[in-house]
Amino acid sequence: MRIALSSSTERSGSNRSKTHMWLRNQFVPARVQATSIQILCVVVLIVAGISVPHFASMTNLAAIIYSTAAIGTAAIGLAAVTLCGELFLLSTGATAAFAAIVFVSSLGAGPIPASMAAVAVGLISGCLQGVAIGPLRCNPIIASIAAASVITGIASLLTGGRTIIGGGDASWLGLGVLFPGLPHQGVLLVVATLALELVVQRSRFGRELRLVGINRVAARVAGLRTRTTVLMGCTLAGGAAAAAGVLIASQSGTANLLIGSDLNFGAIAAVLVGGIGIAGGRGRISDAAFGALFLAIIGNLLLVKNLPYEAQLAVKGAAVLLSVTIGAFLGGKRR
Amino acid sequence: MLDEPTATLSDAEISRVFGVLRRLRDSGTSLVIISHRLDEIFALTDRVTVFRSGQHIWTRATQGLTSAELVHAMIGRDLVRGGHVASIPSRLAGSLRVRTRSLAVPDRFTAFDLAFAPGQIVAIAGQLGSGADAFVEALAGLHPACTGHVELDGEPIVLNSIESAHAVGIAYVPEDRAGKGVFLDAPIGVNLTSHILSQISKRGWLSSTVDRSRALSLATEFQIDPARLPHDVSTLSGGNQQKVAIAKAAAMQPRVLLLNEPTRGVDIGARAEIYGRLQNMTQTGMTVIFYSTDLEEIMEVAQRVVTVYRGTVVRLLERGETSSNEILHDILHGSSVPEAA
Repeated sequence: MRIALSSSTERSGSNRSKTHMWLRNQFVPARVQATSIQILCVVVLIVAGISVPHFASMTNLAAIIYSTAAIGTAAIGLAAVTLCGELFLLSTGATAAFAAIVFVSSLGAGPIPASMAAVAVGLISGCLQGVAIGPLRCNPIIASIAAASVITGIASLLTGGRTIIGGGDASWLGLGVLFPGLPHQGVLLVVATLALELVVQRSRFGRELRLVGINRVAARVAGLRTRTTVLMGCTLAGGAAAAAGVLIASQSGTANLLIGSDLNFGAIAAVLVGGIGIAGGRGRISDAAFGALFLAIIGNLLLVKNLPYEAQLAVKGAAVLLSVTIGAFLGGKRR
Repeated sequence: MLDEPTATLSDAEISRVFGVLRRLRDSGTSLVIISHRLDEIFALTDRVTVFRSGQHIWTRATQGLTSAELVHAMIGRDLVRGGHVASIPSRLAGSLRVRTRSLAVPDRFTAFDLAFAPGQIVAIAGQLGSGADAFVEALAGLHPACTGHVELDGEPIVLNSIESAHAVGIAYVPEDRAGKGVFLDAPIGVNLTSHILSQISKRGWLSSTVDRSRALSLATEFQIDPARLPHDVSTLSGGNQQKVAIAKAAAMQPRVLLLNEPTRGVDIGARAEIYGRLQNMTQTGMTVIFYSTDLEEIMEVAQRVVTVYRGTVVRLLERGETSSNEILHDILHGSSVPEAA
């Protein structure tokens, strides 16, 4: 009897220490920013929901989710590039616009084939940039700015700079809701985030992605496929940027070259504010999604408070600066 | 205050540093030196304080202290010296593991014709830049411009990349632990299995059970605390980091294990553990080839020593038939006899 008793207390003790371990792991220097942002998301939602009139209305919550969805989708793909130590692709907006144009012009064939065509275009664009950045070792910033210029050039040749109006119905994707306050786009972002998180945490590619980001030279010595890994990371980012373009275009059923104009900085801001380390190897895919959610909540609050769009820009910029500073500080602390 | 002031210096540079330190002492400066090199401690210091695992062991005057007492205090037990060299397993005698025919790397070394048997521990001795280091790197696939032929177990192999060396079972532990040897900001467990991702994954997905069990068995083999597997390598001491660097290469169960400066900046206890481990691994027929500038290490571990001077092989020396003076002479002067010697 006494033995059984003592073993059961032992088990509950180890359970408690497991929870304790888990909790402590959320606040190690490498995780503290991401954890804080996630907590802040919840806190701000609750506080604003209680104190700000109209904030908690179904339409406003849906508006927050709409502004999270596209940027979040682009950001979780971009996070793969940041995680493997290649900073960012500055072609996110251009890829999204091009994909949106492809989506809208092929909408006659139905929304699913049209989305697939658009995402395929993004994957190809990302893959080509990945070839330049991975195997050919080009600087990711320069290579992707050049790629953005090429993509925009081709797209404006194809459209003549006009807005394209789709011939089909994309309202399920653009306007549909699972229930009031939760648009389909939000559900899709959650599913995509979970899927990508699974790949990065559990697949061989994901393990290589993070190790390459932590130390590229050591990764080469360990025989990891560094070039292929970078190439695949860029391909993912291209596909995600295209998916973001599809989400935006589906709302109006139209597309033009301006569609991704604030996606570049939005996605980078989400990745950095979410707590993903700019030097590579540190962070999770879901951090980027939370970063996008956080920025959307803040932007929405400013909007509800009737502050101009310029104020939103300034706040977003300040948030990025702050998180890069925090990242550098924590990075220095970890050594 | 100096922390390991001579860890990466050659003997000539070390004696210059010593000269400077002695002048400083004579002019009245107090010096605190952190070191694990015994010769340095006895040559330089007046007083020794020993720390082990975060605890102050004792402080004593250097005079009257024996190196055995000091080692005992540093590692908490007596060190078994010279126990690291065993004979080659007899069933493997007579066969050849690696054979190089006029292997050369432009501007680094010319025409190395060497042969190594399974289960052998070979030191390639030479000054930094003598070509000895480049030879080990070339075998690791780091010099794609190398010319000549290499045979592994009688089969000709091509060494134009790290991948090509890995594919035939050649693993490499680089000299720069923090920069190339380990992933400092990744958990110890992740480091240990980083060379064998193909073995711990199925159709692209990692098996966490296989991952954990391989990491655990490697940690046990290399005397790394299994409870620390989830912690980053950067939390370990230099000696334990080096154990991780070697363990993750050894995880491949390579036919040839190459090491560049296997124990640079490693404390004496971890050093003994690493030597013992290398010795054990050769029992299964693994050939260990290492480059080192540490003569004491070469004398203690290597069964054969290849001395290199200015890009050419000077001599092949057998353990027991050579002295550290002989090796030193070879790597400093080559085969020429210095005048009035």
